[in-house]
Amino acid sequence: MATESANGVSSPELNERDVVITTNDNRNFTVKIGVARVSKTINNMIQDLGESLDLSSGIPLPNVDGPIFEKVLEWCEEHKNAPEIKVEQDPHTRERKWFTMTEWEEEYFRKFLSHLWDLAMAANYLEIPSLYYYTCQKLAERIKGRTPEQIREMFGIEDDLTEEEKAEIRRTNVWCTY
Amino acid sequence: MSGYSLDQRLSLKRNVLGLRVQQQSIIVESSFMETSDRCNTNMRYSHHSPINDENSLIEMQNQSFESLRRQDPTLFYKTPGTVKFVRRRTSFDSDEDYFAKYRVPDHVLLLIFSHLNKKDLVSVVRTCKRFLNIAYNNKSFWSFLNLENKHISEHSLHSLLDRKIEILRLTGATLQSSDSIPPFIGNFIRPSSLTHLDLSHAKFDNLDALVYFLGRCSSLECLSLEACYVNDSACIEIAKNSKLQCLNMIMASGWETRGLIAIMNQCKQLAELNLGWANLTPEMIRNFVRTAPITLQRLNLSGTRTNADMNDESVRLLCQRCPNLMELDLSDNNLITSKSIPYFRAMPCLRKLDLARCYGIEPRDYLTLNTSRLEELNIHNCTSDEGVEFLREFLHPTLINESIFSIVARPTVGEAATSIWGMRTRDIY
Repeated sequence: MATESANGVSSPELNERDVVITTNDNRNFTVKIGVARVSKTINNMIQDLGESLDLSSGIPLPNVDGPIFEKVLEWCEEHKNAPEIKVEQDPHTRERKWFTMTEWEEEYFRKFLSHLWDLAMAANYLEIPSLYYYTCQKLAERIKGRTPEQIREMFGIEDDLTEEEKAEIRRTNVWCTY
Repeated sequence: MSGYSLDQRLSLKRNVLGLRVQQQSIIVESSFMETSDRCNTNMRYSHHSPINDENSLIEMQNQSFESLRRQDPTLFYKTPGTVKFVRRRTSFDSDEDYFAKYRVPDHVLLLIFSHLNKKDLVSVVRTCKRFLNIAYNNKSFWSFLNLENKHISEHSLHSLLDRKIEILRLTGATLQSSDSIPPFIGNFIRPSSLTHLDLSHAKFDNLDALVYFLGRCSSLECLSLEACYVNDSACIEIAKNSKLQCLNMIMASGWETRGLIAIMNQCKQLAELNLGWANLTPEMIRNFVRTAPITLQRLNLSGTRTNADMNDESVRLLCQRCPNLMELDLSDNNLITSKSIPYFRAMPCLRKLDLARCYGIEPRDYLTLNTSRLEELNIHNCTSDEGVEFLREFLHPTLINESIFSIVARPTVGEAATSIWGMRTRDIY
């Protein structure tokens, strides 16, 4: 499937070509352009370079490390031909509608459950909407039904609320506890 | 558990805890002393345990005595609840501290929180200062809430207003006034963002609390005080909502002329008004028919019964003043007579007319409505079944006695369970 781009560097053949991507721990990944451009950030870089693109010299990614990029690539490979995700909201209440995940996606997140934040941050930086939105939904799923103590523990958050603040929050939200 | 060997047991515990315990050494954490003691007891009676072998026990002791000590208690704290023992400031799944490693941007947190319902949001708020600020200051998280039949304190209510709640359902709720309003709440004059407020059958232990609450509302579009006890001060606060379109006062009590006039004079956009059985005095009716906003499209003025001022003259004035009325419910007004029929007939927009139990009208005079454009006429108990059949034929296509209840301005009607005026108040997830 050809992806059209502004300056015409895109074509089915180009998608089959390899590009080298270097992560911040100096690991080189050789990736098919069609897979790499699932990331809008990388896609923009490829487009900006245009004809002068030297595929062997590599694209540097200063904000992503190797182990995480490996996981991100797995997602990109699976989603290289996927259509753009649609973020839907309830028309009345503006509530976000949850995405339904495929079996593969569920398994993917099961496998990398302990790296959800890394994935979210990488997806945010690399502009991969599907991975970004789905990971955030997974993180929300983890928060759901948990106590503040459990959330703190799960995400390694320091409890910096004073006792007075906690009492005030409790007092003004009694309605949700029964 | 008893079927496992000690090694298996330890490794199980390691897995559960995610702790890295050296293969050769046995570390007994203080938090698990109890379990460990039990292991030791079992060990004594277990013939299959490798530690039963005296040599290996001595060997193991030599190796392990160093490490067999109490864990630093500051690494652990006890939380009542499902997860009993948790390590401080680390995560179970990986040893990374996400929030120290990354500066997670607000927009990522906002996206995550946008998936949550109110209950989970409150858990998030109670987690840390940063989460509190993000969750409290984003009004889209708190735009609607259903507190049907709950007890809610004045504190909570004002806290919700501070969170910019827009749609609030307090049907049947009990509002407890707070004795001491803390200073940071006491100083508020900030108007709330409430647009839809349903206080139907709500109870207040103190009317001042209601007045105070309504005093913060200035952008209401729909309001229901069904069966509430109100006073004129509350009505004067309601009158400040100049965008009010829909007001339901059915069965309300406690109010008087001053309050009613304030609302009529200042709410110039009122389109739906329900004053059914609202304990109107003759003076109130006299004033109402002279001050009702011209914008009214649907009006319920039923149930004044033998109120001396709900007569044909009032109907004439009302019909004159509100030419845009499409729906009019004057059921249970015994002093309305056949003289009013021409006034109804002359209403250009009137499509639905309710005159149930208006015994002052001679049934024969309904026939003169044949020139009107009425779509529905409800005259329950005014004539015999045969009479109804006859009217159905004579006034065709006008429907006769199709509906029993008037739904003018009422928040939750039909199949809706928790929606008010078509706005949902319940979380999906």
